[in-house]
Amino acid sequence: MSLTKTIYNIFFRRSATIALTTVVGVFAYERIINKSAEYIYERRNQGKLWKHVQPSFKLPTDDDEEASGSGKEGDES
Amino acid sequence: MNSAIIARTTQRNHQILFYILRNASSSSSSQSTIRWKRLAYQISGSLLTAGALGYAWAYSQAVHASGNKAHLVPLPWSFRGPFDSLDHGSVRRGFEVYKQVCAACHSLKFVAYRHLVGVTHTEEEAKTIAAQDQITDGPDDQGNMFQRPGKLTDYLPSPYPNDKAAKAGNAGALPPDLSLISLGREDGCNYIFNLLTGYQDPPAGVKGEPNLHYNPYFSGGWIAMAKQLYDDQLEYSDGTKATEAQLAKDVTEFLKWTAERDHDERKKLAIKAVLIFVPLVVISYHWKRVKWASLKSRKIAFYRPKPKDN
Repeated sequence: MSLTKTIYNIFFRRSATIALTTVVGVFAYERIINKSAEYIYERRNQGKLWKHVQPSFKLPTDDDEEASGSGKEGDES
Repeated sequence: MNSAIIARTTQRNHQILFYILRNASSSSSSQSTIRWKRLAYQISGSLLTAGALGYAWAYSQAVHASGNKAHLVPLPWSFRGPFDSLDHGSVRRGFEVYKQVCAACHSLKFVAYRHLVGVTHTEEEAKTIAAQDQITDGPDDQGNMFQRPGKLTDYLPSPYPNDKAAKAGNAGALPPDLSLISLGREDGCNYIFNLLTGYQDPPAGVKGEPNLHYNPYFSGGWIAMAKQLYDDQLEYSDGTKATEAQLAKDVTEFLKWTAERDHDERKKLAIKAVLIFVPLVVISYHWKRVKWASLKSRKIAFYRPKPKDN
């Protein structure tokens, strides 16, 4: 396939470009992995994490008193 | 098998390797003994493995004897799945339950006020909570210990100064520290919830000591702790209705957090591990198969040399 051939000629022919591709690739891969893991985790745990819960627990002195937070009905298990 | 490699084709990618072996034994008698040997090894090996595994399984079964306590009711905890986090609203309510109900007798000595920040409370809230408690602090210049309001860096104070005082205050029974209780009991979260909500009248004729209470989920059935959770015992700061089941659920989720503070981060890391290792395994397997292709597709030819006439 000429696509792989082109990629090989550009990136994997010289060891210097191999090294550069590895470094940039690892950096990009790590960013992608971290972002996707955070997105998946937060989607799956919507409403449970502290950043979702915290706005509904405001100190009475700060704002008007919040009687009940979002989604805080007594859920019994 | 006596044999010598006397020829081999040069190796190139995707070409078939060709080995030619001389004197390779192909008589049927040695082949059948080899076959029997291999069969014997396979059968004995598999029997040994199955025996060892079966012994290990049977040995582990002894722990789960139905014995002296009731089977637990498994509950659909919000953090049950491999990627599910704790419900932080529930953990916060559980902290309130601990503070108002459990802290009278149970210590939580591995949790500091600063651990609450970013998990169940903001920094200001945690500071306020810490300042409401009196912490025993080091000897002053006269050599006496003194009490002072708590700071974020302090650990939660114990209700009793030592174990003997705790036992004396509880009719000889020591209320265990709760920091790691959900790890320290088998099926911790289900056990705690079932225990707290499981108080009931003993079956007819079953007697215990006068200062023990019947709870079928406790080993032996008679526990020194009385029933502590009742409907509307306290008011949650977020307005949730404080039924007994709600109180038990929240305090259990709180105790799960105190035992495993890395729980949420660990499960997020599990997602990352899957995202990293699955593509890597696929690529590694593909590369291995590519590199091994020439060996896996080689052909081996035997010939028997002509007998020498002498």
